[in-house]
Amino acid sequence: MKIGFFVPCYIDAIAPQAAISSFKLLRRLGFNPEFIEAAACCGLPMKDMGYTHTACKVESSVAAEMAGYDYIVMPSGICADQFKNHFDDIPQTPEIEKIRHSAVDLVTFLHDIVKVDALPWASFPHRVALHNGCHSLRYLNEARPTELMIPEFSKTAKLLSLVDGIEVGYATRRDECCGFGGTFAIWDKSCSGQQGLDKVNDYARNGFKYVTSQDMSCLLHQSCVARKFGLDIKFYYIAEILNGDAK
Amino acid sequence: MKKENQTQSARERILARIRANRPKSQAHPDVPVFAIAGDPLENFVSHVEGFDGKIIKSASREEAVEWLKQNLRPTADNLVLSAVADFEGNVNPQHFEKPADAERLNACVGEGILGIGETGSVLVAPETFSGIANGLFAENLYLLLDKTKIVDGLQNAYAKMDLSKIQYTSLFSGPSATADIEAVHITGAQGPVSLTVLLY
Amino acid sequence: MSRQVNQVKLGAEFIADTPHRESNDRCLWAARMRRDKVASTLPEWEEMRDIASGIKQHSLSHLDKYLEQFEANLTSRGVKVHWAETAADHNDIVLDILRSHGVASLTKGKSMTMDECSMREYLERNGIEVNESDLGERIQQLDNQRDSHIVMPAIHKLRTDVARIFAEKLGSDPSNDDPTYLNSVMRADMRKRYVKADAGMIGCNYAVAETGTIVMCSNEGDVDICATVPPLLIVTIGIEKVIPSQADLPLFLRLLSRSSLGYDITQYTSHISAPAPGQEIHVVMLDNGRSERLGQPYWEVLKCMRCGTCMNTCPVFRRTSGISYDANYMGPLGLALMPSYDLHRYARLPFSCTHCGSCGDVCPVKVPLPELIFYWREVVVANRESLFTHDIEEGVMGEVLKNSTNLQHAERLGLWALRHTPSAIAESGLNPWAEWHRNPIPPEQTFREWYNENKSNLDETDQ
Repeated sequence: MKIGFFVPCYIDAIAPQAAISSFKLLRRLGFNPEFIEAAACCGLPMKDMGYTHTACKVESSVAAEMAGYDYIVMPSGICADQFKNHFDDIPQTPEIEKIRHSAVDLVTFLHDIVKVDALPWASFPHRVALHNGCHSLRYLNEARPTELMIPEFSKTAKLLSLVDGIEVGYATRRDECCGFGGTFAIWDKSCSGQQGLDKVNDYARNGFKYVTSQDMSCLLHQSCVARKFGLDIKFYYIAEILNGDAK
Repeated sequence: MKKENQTQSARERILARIRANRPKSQAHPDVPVFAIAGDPLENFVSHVEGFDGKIIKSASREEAVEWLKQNLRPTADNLVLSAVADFEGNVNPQHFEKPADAERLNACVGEGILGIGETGSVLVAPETFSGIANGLFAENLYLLLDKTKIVDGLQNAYAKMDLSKIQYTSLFSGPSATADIEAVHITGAQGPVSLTVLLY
Repeated sequence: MSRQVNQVKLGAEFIADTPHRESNDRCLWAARMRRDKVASTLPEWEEMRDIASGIKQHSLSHLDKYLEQFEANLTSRGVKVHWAETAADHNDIVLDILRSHGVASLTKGKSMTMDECSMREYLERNGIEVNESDLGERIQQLDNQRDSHIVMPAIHKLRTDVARIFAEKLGSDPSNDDPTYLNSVMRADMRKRYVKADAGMIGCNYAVAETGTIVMCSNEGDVDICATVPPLLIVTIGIEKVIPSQADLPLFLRLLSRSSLGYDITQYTSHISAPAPGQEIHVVMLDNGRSERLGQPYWEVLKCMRCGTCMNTCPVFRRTSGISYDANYMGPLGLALMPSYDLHRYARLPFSCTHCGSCGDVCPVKVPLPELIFYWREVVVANRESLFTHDIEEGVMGEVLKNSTNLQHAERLGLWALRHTPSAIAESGLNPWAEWHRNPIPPEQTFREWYNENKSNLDETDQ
């Protein structure tokens, strides 16, 4: 199985540990992921702002670097959603269709494709709040959103349950959006900030000292709000826990 | 007459635009009748109470009427309008000049047409109250209901109705209510302050 | 050109007002929680959403036929049906009916469709006394403010606000802010108005074509009083409200109040198919752009049955309140619908969204709200509606992100700035991020740097 590894721009620069843990975890599980060095950006920020024309240019140039993989794994639900669900304004060539099919978030890859059932190296003897990022939750179906009346499932919680000693819990408003929203955080800083503050206060009221998520963009936002308001909470990308790197 | 013509042509223009713009024809989906869990009578009672209504259970209609006689004593200060033959009030709706005269009613008694377990609703019509305004303005509402007329759910109820034949009907589910101020639930908004269903 | 609504600015003012923000959020979140609870008791919930969406799609694709059927049925029973192409036409038709009947005063049930026409203000300007009969709507009328929610028009207000308004306008005790007391003030005041009303006006939740029936769903009893007590009734109906048959109605009713407020049904679910003896009924069918919307990529927004559940779940709406949208339809529905009324005025609205997707999941008729919001962002940009200096921004983003070389340069520049700018500057007012956040802690190396350092001996890093 030929695995490409796509590192989103914001992870490369600001949260490289999320990519390092993911990359190592894939190797530990017996894969030989190939870092797609030439790939830059999935086009999400432009798409998000309605800049379709520029988004198409960025999408086409990133797509050119991503051909030839059975799966392209990425430690980012928002980017996987962008590849899968929003690459629809560029010509739908067989190559693009292949990329849309093979682009996959780390959690979906581990749960659906690898069907990981043991992580003997991972131990995290703490109570952890699980935040399912909105895109992973509602657009990639990695867990049941609380408003959908379908059978309960959570791929993220199932993977975390393989970690020794971990106790997974949730904020009271389990899947309330934390307010990052990409460009929204700048466009509407007050609402984004208030949402973030409400989120981290929810963790604090429930006594959580640790938070994890499959979406690093949510965690970056939440952690920067928590530090601003003096809350002592640690935020780990899910692979950091699954690979035993979080201490 | 000019106005008439204008709206007539407005009608034609609107319909023409709809015909030009309507989306591709889509079939009407099948609508199954969904089963309602639980006993309809028990569901009915718990839903009426959930909507702040009161339930009085009687073994017979006579017993229910007797309850009304004991509890609703018409006086000059307690204007009771009854639209059922076996209980007498002290207001004759024939004497009303207009529907709004019902505004001073303290109580109104009527006979529900059917009940719905799923929602605790009672189907009423103008005849239920000798004029619908009486059922809307009276402070306290009393509805007799034959418990064999309680159906499982909304779908079952509508299957028994023919809306093309009615002037007005309504499903009353508890007394009027509001939560418009800080979402604080208040029973007794602008219609009845209380609703009592007398099951027999 | 219309003045552009700045939801972000108005929202920030509401956010800064902690008691109001917390109350608004708490009330609406409670409605969402009740919705989840009652919906979870019905195993067919998701199936019903699919069917309801299907019926609405079917109705809209045969809208002309069902409208004609609805009209013919009502007409055959003596109801007069009018057709209004625009909001102005609607108001003219209504005023004409009222004047020809010598109406001085009327009571009016809550109707977003009439509000869409700014009808109340129009009638008042023309000397007609209009008394809103819904408590929330009456509060907003007396306060001369738009609704903040399509189902709970004054939900953004505190009881103290209502006490002040009622004291000023209705002469109640200014020191008593008990909601039960305030409700009783409303009840007593409205009774006088019902008695003297020459006409009643109401909106409509569903128009059943097969039977020619106007269906109204309400809680306070006021809508039924407006509809049955005065001798003249005028009903305004948006043309998209028509549904095919009586058998379809209970499916929608099973979804409506459960979605909206989390209760199994509204206190009053009422049907009118004909005038009462001595009563005259006029129905005004309102287009106001609907027949054009039907042919647009966003036509599915016409499926909306105005339950307001998208507002209750929206994290932005709960914190900024419906007032901040300065629009007749607010929240996710407003984002998906208002630009079709006035693209320039509402160009900013589609951006007041984090794309969390919850509105799409709660919508009982499956209006694809998140997709429609995305759609409008594209339209706004394509129409060069000025938002940021977005030409420059789009150009810069496009250059930076078009290949990995440019991106790496930008990343290095950004990280250098993050590492070396003193926090007094980096986290000053110049940085919009810094108002609510600390800056991220810069890592020692990027992933790319780590990878290049370790790629020749990756096996050693595996432990």
